[in-house]
Amino acid sequence: MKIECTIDKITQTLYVNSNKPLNLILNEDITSGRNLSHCDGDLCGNCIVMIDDKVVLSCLTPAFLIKGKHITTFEGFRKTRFWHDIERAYDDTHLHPCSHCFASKTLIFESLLKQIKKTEVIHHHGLDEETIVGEMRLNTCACLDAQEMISIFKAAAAYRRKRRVRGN
Amino acid sequence: MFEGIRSPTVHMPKSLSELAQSISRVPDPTFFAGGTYIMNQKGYYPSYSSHSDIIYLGGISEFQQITRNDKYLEFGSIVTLQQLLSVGKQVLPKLLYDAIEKTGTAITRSQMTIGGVVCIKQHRLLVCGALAALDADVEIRSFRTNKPTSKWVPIKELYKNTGLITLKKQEVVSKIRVSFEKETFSYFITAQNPMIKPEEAVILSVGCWYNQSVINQFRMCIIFPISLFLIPEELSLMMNGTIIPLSTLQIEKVVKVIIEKLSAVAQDDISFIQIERAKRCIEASLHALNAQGLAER
Amino acid sequence: MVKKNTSFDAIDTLHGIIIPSTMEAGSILGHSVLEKDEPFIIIDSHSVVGSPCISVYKDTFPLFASHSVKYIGEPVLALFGPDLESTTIRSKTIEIEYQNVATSSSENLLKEHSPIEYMWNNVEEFRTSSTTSYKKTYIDEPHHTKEDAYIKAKAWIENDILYVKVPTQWPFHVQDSVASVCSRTKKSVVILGEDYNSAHDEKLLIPSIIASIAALAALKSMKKVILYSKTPTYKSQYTITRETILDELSKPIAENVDVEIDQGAYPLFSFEMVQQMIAGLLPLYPLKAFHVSLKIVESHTPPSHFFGSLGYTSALFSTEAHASAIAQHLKKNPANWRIKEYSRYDEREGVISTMAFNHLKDLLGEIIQVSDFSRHHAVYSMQSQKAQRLSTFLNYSRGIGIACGAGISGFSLDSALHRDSKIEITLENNNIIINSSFYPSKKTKQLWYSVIAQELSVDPTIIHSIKRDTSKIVDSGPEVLSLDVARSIEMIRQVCTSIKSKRFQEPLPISASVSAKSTIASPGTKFISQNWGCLTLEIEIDTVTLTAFARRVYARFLCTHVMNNEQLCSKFRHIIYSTLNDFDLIPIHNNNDPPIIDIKVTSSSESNIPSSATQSLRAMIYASYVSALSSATGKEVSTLPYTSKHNINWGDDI
Repeated sequence: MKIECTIDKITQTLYVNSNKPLNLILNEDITSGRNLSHCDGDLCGNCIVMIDDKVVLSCLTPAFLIKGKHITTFEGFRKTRFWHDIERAYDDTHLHPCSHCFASKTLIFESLLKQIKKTEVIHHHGLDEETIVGEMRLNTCACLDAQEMISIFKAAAAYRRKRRVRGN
Repeated sequence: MFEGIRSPTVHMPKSLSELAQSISRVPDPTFFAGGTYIMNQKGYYPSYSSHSDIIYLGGISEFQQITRNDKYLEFGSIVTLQQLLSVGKQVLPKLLYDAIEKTGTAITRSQMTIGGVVCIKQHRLLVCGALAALDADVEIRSFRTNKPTSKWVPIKELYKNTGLITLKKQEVVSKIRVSFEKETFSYFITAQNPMIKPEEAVILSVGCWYNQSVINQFRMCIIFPISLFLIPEELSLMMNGTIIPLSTLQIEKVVKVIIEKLSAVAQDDISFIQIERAKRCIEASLHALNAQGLAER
Repeated sequence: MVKKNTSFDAIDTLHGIIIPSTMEAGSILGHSVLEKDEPFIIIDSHSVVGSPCISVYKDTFPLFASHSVKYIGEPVLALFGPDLESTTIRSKTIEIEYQNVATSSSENLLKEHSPIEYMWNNVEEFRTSSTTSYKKTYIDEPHHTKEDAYIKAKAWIENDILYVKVPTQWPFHVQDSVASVCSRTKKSVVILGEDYNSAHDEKLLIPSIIASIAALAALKSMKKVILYSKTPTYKSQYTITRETILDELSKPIAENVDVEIDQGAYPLFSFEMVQQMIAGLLPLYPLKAFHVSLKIVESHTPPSHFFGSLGYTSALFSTEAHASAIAQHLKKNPANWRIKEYSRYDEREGVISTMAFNHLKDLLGEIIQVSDFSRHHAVYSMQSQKAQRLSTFLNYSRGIGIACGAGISGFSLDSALHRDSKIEITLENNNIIINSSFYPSKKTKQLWYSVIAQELSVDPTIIHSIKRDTSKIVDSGPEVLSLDVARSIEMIRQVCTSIKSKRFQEPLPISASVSAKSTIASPGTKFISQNWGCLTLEIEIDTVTLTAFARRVYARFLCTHVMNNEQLCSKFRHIIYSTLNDFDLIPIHNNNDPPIIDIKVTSSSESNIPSSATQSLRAMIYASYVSALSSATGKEVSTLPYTSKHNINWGDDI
């Protein structure tokens, strides 16, 4: 099947099987191949990417659903300004995910930050601790405990709110 | 010369009529809703068994709607779990809301569809139990003959006692509806992750309607994800008319009846831990019913 | 999907996977062959041009099973093709023909090696009519990692040099293996070590195997080759039976320990494993007689050795769990019993030299207070006496356990495993280069850089590490058991001292190197521990779902030379959290829940070489967990991992 899509802002024309999972496409079929996990049904949560700015598990996304879509991997996300909010949160808290799950956990943080409503500029981010920890546990790597995840999120949310106030 | 595996042809109908045409062309298709269960199977890709043509249901507008009238809330089978949650706690029955919330994270729920979850061939998940306890109905559209038909059936008729789906080839679930009659008491519990350890997991959903401490209606659904889907009818008969709080003897009797029934149905396919967990979950639900009943006095 | 009419010659890079045995044991008659014009090649035992085995010091294991298989998953052949997808599909059609397949599990045990004994005095002499004994068996069951991402080994030939790029904890072993298997000189094989993550030492020997196979494929095809592997790493099964003889005052006076270690089909590192185990098996209460018999057994299971530890964790787990069990047997508070009974004795110091025992007792006192151990222990003990345990109506069942231990890192001091390994530092003009085959984590690198900056009075920003290329780096040995933290710090200090002596006297650049031999302390002990740790773990069993979760963990440490306390606490927190996660003990986090882990690290005034507490910390969690479980379930628990199904075996001791 011929699939045209954008991966990290580069237009790609791929010839892959229609039911090939997106994570395998990213690992095998693009020039600068990624190294996303493929746990084969073990629910590792370590293959997160963004499709049209929506965070998804790439192992559950077949090729035929990415036609015309904009896919952003962690490598692409790192080039955006939104990454800096999370990067600074890691630096400020002296905490960060391990190298194995860094990419996926960062994108899950980003999916949580996207949920911060624009109206909640000054006040509480609107996400409770249960939700934050529950969402982060989609990725099963146990390198961060609950308090650490909450600390990183709160720090990143503060930077994201300031960015919203500045209007960029 | 080696040619690898054939790329399955993907049919993407946009309406029911296009769906009928696609089904008539493809004798044994793989129906794709969200595709999360299919793609999560061990060794799904690449393999020779994953080459049958795909009919993607996600583009059919009739399957994407959420509607309500004064009696029912109706949602199309392609509505994602996350979309359903966004309908809100005030509208969705609590039992269904709890079951959906416990089904993965927001990211996974955005990719899972209600129809996809309900129609897995032999793996029952949390939502199935909640819908059964709420006596939900499903609309089944059949394309087996030249003239497609549709009918509403209670969801319990969609599954055998062993959990296997009774849906035939060329049949799809198009809609699901739940009544707005709010349950007076609901209890939902899941022991162990039904995706990771289905052979040890237990899912219990209970809906109870009572008035002035007298039970009018009681529905319980017990699920062992890969071996049991049980709605003990005798329990409803036992409980109707019973006064809350239930005595210790009554609780013991209920537990005994259900455990005997599920052991008879599932036989060798269940583990010891599942029986023990089921027993405890049932007891806990009845204690919770007592607690709520007493608190309201 | 591979394009039609792809010829082998047109392919730039071959992609390969290993096809393993699906049988536990049996003879191999043969396997499917490829068609003449297929764009694939097979690498098997017949393709090996050099040694058919991988050597690990004095032990060996075959690269491919040739005539017989000994475990499920043993590599039989590797298939390489134009892309990973078509190779995977084609591999499913390759059949291996077996004969004399073992079917009964009683045939599982292959070989028992003669037991290795360690003792002082005769235990039986202390068994009299006035003594009693307490016996219990502890089992640390086998386990393996779940690999969700491929390890890739890339091989290619350039100017007659065979290059292999692979993530590895031991690049020089990869080089030796590839050179030996491919019958090449070491100089003609260059290993480029990649970044890696390896919580359970997954990158210790597997990279040598896949690099060797990839190299063979590169030599056979004369193309660039990538081999993909998801081979798990396995943990041995340890069965430890301890019998303690107690005198009339119920004081332990002698102990007999029988250990069986199942190392799978090919025992590796056995001698060092025995040393590590003896160090862990020695109890912290003094004994007049002690006897350990360690038996290595082989079985039809994958080879197992390093798994974050080489036996010390499992041994210490049994030691501390046994101490709690003895206290429980004597109806005493296990924390107070430890304070009373634990003390230094010479026989133990001869194997593992620790910090003064009064430090340990101070830690115990602190942790008893902060965790309110005595009160919790008393309440939960009473609860476990009740006739109806795990009632859904009263719906909780809790337990608390305590354990302590000394942390060690690296190999035994007289081990041949590290003697010649080196670190080199070069001082240039405004630039300092560290040369080592270790791949230090960000935190370890910071530690190295801060030590060098301190020793040489330089800005840490001018310090750099050489990329891991075996043609340029020195051999620092296998990066395992936190060697990179412990021993390397002392080696770096010695190198800096050597540089300081030449600085301002000799022209730049000034290089100095040191081998691990120079860091080995004076004889008289096999391990040196420079830390003490204590831990309490409180768990709860949900009586409805029959699942256990951790409520609180308190951990207190005394360590030497703590460079960054916050970092060290964070590391310990990670180890605790990941170990709890391995046992499915992580609770659901509710809003405003306090942190479940409370850690405090105190820096000792002594500035000796720090030793790692990773292995001992895991052992403390294991030991506290079994004690807490015993208390919560009212049953004798001594096997890990403990799964939910154990909860309902009423009346059986686990």
